[in-house]
Amino acid sequence: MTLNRREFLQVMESAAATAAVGSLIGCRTPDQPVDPDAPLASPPRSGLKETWLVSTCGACPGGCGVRARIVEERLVGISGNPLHPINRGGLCPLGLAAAHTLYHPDRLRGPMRRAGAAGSGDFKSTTWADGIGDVSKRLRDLRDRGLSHTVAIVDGSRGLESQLAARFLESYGSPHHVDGRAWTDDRAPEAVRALQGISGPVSYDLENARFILAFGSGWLDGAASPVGAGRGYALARRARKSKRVHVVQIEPRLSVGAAHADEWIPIEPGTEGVLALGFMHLILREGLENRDFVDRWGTGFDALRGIVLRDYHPEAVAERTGIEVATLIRVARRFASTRPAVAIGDDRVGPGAQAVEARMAIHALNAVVGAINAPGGTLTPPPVPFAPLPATPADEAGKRGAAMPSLAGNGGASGLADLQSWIEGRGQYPINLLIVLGADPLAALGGGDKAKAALGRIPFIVSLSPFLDETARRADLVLPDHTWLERWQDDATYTSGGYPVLGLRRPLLPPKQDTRHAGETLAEIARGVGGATGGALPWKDFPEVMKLAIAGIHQTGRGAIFDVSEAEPWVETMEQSGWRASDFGSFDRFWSKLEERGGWWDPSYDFGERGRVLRTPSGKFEFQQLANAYDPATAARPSVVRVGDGTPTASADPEKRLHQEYPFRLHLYPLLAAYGDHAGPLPFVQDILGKEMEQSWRLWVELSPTDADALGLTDGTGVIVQSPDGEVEARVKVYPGIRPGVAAMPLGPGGAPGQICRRAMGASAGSLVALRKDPTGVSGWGAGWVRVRKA
Amino acid sequence: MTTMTADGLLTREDAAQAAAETPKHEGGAHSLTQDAALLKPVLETTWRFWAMAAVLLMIGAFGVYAYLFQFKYGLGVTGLNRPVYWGVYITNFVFFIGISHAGTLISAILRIAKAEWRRAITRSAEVITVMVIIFGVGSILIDMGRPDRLLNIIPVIKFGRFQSPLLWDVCSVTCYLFGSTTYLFLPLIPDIAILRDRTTGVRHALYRTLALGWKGSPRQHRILEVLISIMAVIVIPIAVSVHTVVSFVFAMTIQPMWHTAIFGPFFVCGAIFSGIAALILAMALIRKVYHLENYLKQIHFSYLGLLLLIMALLWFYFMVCEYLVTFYGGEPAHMAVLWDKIRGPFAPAFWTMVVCCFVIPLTILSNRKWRTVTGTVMASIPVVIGMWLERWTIVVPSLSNPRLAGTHAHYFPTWVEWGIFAGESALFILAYMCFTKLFPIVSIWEIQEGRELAVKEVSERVHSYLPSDEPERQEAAS
Amino acid sequence: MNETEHAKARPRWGMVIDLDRCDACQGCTTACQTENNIPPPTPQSAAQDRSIRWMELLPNVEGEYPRVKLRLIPRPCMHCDKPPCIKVCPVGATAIGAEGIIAQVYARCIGCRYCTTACPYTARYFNWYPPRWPEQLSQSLNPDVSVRPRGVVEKCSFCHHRLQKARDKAAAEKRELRPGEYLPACVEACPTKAMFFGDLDDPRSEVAQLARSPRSFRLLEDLGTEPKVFYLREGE
Repeated sequence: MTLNRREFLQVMESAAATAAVGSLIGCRTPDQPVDPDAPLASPPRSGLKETWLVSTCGACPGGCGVRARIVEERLVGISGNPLHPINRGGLCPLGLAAAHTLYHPDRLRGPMRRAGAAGSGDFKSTTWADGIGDVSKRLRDLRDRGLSHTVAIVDGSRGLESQLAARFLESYGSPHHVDGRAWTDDRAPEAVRALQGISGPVSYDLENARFILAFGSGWLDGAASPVGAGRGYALARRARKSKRVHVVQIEPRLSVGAAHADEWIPIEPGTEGVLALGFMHLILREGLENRDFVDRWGTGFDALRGIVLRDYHPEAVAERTGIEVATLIRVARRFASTRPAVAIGDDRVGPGAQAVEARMAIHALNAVVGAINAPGGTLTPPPVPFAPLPATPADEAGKRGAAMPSLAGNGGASGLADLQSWIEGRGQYPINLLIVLGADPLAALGGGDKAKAALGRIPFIVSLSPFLDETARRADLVLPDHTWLERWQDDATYTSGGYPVLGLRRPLLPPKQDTRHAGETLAEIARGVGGATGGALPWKDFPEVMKLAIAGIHQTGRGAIFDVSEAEPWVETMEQSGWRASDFGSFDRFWSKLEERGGWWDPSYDFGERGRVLRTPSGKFEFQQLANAYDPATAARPSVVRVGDGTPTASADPEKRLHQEYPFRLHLYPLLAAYGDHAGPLPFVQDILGKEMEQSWRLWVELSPTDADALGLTDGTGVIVQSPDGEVEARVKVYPGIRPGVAAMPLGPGGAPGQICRRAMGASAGSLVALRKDPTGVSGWGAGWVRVRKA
Repeated sequence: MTTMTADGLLTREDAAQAAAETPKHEGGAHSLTQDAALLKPVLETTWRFWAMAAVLLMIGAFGVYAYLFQFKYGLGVTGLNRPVYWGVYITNFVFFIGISHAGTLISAILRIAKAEWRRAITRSAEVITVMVIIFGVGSILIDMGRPDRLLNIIPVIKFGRFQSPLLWDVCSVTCYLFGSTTYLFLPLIPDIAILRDRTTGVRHALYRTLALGWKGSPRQHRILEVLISIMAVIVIPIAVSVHTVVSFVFAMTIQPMWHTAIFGPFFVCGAIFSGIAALILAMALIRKVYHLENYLKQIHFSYLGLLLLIMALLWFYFMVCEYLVTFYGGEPAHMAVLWDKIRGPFAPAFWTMVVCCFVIPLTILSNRKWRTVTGTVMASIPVVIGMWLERWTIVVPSLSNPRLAGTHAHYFPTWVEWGIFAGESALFILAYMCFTKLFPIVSIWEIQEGRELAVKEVSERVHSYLPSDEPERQEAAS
Repeated sequence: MNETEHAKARPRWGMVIDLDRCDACQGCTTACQTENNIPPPTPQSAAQDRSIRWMELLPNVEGEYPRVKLRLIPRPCMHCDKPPCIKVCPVGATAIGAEGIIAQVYARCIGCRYCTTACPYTARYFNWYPPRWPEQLSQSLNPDVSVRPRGVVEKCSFCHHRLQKARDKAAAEKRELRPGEYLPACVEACPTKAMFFGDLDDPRSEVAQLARSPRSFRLLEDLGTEPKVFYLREGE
């Protein structure tokens, strides 16, 4: 079809006539092409002021670089920053839909005080002075009464904001800085910590691996940086000269990750640890282990070897895991003989997380084949060289409070599970005041009744969330933060190749609502509290703190401002000769470059730094810890009895009883771009959740065809999924890609009523599993058993 | 054919002769006493009519309300979705256009075939066509997302493109509407003249205008009969084309179980099938309500019943052809639709259709004793229902099983769609009723002509078929 | 100007999607929705299968446990060289341009939805209601793309407005359009760089080379629609 000019104008005219809708919503009249090839008489779209700004995505912890397109003071598009080494211009749905975060109809308009019952969502607005004054007063009172240690901060932020929270607590006098995140994105999972002694993150060098042995879907579908993981996966598949990576996915369900793997091995849920030891058994029996690593860098290996060779015969493992012996042998041989190969566990925390013992066994597989701190294996990214903030001022009261034992029974860093079990009765004293910073602990705890009850026992909760999320609904005071699009923040992360990355997050537009930067709110509360706390956060605004810390990077002279990717081979060459980028110019110039390009990274990794990688007291890889966990003699201790963990313990009996009442094993899996979404319920994101299962905007439970038939259930039947800990409504999805006897459900934050753009899933499947704690104080999540009945 | 034409010419000459001898068609009051029953519905109206009209008007008004509701809020108020983009409205379109085949096509075939039993039924058949075709076209308009842009489909002045089968429909249906209206109107003229002479006031003025100065002169008769014959011939290919082109709307796409050459004849067959059933129902109602048992006789129903039986068999034959070919081909995309119809979500509709369109009519109509008024009506009701279901099981299952969609859509019409369907049906019946109040629903002059001329003519014609006593004359004639 | 000579010099835009790189994150879907001013989906629109996703992830499950295959294929408009949709449109509201892009003329469409039923890929969408943006969400609308009124059909345009912008820019700078200067939003956003876009007629272009790869296939190839979207299957 070709249109002449007259026809073209005619069509345009009628287009203008139908443009009422366009003008109604503040959009320009249609200028959609009528004919792709119609010549344009004059340059269109002139006269609109258009700017592009670079920032770092804050929708999830992934740390992707974004470019914002701002037209006439309106944020009209978010795309990936092509210079950013994590995502190189790509972006996931959460980031791409983020403009809706800024203009979200459910954003909080300003500070609010609870007016109705907790959880009712009934709030009345208040002033900032009143809100901050109230918290400060309460904190002051508690401190004066010597109860400063009964204050906790649940902190989902990281970097400097998290440091501010830590300084606040230290000077105020509380040890309860609780990690509120759903991912272990910038710290090692508990299991890795036990074996390697590191506290920083572990990264998987997907790009260079030739064999990926993935236990659980967390590595691709639910990775802390979905874009980073996806990019690593894609590069390993196609973008290099060496052979295409081979992926074996071990999971009870054919997940998106499993669908992309070369081989999917459906496993009995909760037996991943047994399987890992089964593989280890075969590797050891065939002498395929890396003697060099095991001997030089491991400790307690012989104890482990003894247990593994004695208890984990392929036949026994096959019976427990439901995987054929031939498959075990084949995969074990391939894993041990392909270089480089890496075993990846699931690093999520919260409901559905892998048991610590199982996670340890999986990580130890890497050690056995020498994939610790090796190309194509696991890496330990060095930290971003921030300058340390000046010492925190402290007074006597503060020192006393801060020295109290933390929530975590074992003295380590405390997590949400510790907070819950503390409140539920393990703790010696109640928590009187909770500040929630950049987190939604209730959602992260699965949103179940137990978690709600635990939170309900805290007399005063302050949430700094920009949305009325599950926790904020139950808060007494909400002092809303900016959305990530309106605020300053440092985003320190790392690439899968182990390079430290600093992304700069900066305001793209002035705040749309009466909100304040959470870090600055915290500083103001501190000033209100007075005393040593008053001087702990002396900075006038957050960028000042950032500049202070980032000056450290400038001083080291290491690394480079983000640049085009063509530089990478050159960087590699430089790296080998101890490269240092020396000339950043003045700090101001460095800072303006950071703003312009989006961040800094140090594309070098030193494989020789064993001391940095193995930080256990012995300085070696602690095979002994794993041996202890799986030694029947020591494992009889309750600490390793985890429902569904499948370790060789006395847990079989309660399991049997559960099994009779609740015949299905619950498998909770992450949905890409759903979990830990800090961006509010974005309609575009909600709409695609579950698309791969042909589901939308509702919670579903996947059953195998045989199980569904037996229960008389078909696709779409409404059911109630019940566990000993709770129940949720869901729709049935009959899915052949699931192990019979398993009920699989996606994990996502539950929805809050009354929102305009509500969340897809009315309830969270996470509420089906409750936190299990044992007398020694270690907490873990049950794998869960459920029954399914028609609604 | 030659013989028939010769017969025809002979007839007209005879008729002219007869007219000259006894000027009966001058429009006088005489000789109508015998057929007064035919004028009675036009001239007298009982409360029953008004009651019925009120009920239908209410249903119709509801339909209009439903449409206005849709017009205001958009097609979102229907149950349509992606991929089931077409539903009740398109089903109705095909169904109504199908019903319209009752009239003009049957009437024209019977006229050309000189089937003398036609005289009492042609009018009621033709009216169905003209009335229902409007609702067929209306269904398409109702289905449009942008009815305000209707004029876009006009070629030349706007953007209409003949490449689209929808444009073929527009042309074909327009021709059909004009053709069948003309074909209805022509044989109406003498009857209008009768009414003109029996009415006063507004009605008289209306009839006077419409009668076009009919005096019943031999010349006028000659012209009228020539025109009717021409129209009868013209209207048949148009009618066949209409439903063929309707089928092309589906068959010209490459969608599973739509893309088949059998759709053209199958649709035409189905159209005539449903048309005859609708005609039988209409006639039975007219006969009962207006007490025309003497005109619409058992024999008419028996003959139409036989025709219905033939169409049922033909329809079944086509259906078996279509499904067997699809089944043997076994192409996955087609099989998905096939199984959906035979044992899937559309199975209830499909098997009801088979029972309604084949089992019931075959059982009733193959028994000569049951080809009564009651019998044929009992056969026709399921046929009409079954044929609607057939259109439904053509439109919806194919769309529900696209080759690639990523959804498993379920479509069920909303109250708006059912409301509009009910409204359309009610308004159609109302329009039909109104027609019977304006014009004789059984052609008076044709009955008279039959009585006065055809008996003799047929007897002569039959004689002409038989071996002649005088061989010379026979040779000369051929 | 001689029309055919002119046409020869023009590119034939096409897309390649490498399924071996794609991890089914659906970034392409969202990138498209935000770029092209798709009204925000609602639970109702989803429940009624009316969500508009010009780029849509198609799941396909085959086989029985444990030998099950889950294939996830992102599906834009195929921009067929022989498009079944164009044939059936009664008003010419959809047309193929000289560069092979199938355009939709919203101002002309009468909403008969014949093209939507004729498209074997079900890649066309209908505006069942007037588009709505809750409160301030309309602030984020892309000024380059019109908002469609209710009652018309819409579909992937290969982000044609981006081509126009790139052309305008090139013209203003008095130069030819450079390869890679014009990319649809989905291609640009793809985190795994699984999507490629360019001139299929230029033998040097990446898309042309990939489209000839032994891994290359097209959806419903046997229907003869000649799609300009190619897929690369997984494996070596």
